[in-house]
Amino acid sequence: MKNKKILLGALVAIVLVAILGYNYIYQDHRDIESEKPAFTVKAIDFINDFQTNEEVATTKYLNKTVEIEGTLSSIDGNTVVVEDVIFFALSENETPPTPDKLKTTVHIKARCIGYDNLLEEVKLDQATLRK
Amino acid sequence: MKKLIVFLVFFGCIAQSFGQKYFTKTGTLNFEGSVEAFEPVKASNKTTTAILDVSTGKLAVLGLVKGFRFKNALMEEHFNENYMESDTYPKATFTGMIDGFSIEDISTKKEYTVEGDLTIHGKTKKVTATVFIVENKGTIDVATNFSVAPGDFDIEIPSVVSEKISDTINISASFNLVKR
Repeated sequence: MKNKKILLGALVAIVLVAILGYNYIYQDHRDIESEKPAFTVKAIDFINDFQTNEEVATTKYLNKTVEIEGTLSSIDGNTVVVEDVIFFALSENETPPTPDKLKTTVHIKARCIGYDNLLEEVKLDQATLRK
Repeated sequence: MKKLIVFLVFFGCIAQSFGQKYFTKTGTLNFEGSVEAFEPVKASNKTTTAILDVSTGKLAVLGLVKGFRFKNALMEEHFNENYMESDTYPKATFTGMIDGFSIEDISTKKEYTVEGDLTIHGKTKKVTATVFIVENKGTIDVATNFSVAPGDFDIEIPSVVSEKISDTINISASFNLVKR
């Protein structure tokens, strides 16, 4: 009887560890859309930070969820550019904005992936537009 | 008069060859270091910048390390934190020259050799790779495929996982470049 209880206990423990382990290894990706932004900034201030000191700005924003307010300058497939120098790759499920949104103010939430010094642009991915 | 014409032609040529650049912001970089029978170790970056100066054959590529997306979230986290240390080294870059490149020659797919500096994890190494280039309706398609060893870039693979990650990492790139 006692042995059975120990066996049962061990079995439960093994199953529990297996479930926890599985959930750890196959955990979900971050969901940028539902995350609260770490920074809510105007596009001009955001780009200014990178142009003043790339290293400091990278440390500040890299991998963070940022909500940016600025003028939509172009739309190309699944990507958009704000204020000519902030590049967003839209989230997979996000529908690109219609051309009538060009030159209007938009609010975009996305994850900062770094500064592109070849084109002097900041890049963000998994972007969603506030409706 | 003759002098003036020569002068104009000369400057015309300079203006022509100057700034003949093709670029993309949405190039694809794939890497794979899978070992058979284990979970695939591969990721894709679809936000790679590439610039080709068609007058000189100079190619510059910049991939932001955080932009590599894995199917497995934990693998992506380990890739960034333990191997690439992307908070410290957020960029992977390549700058090099395409040997004998001429925009006149690429109306059909042509094979070239590109040689240059590949910087990953803050370490720079000379690499040589074969690239295929073709002009396609006013845009230029560039594709390449080569292998690197993590050790060359001071990336240590801990022994517990070393059998699940290949010794050679295959990198493939494809860029559809448009005139700037």
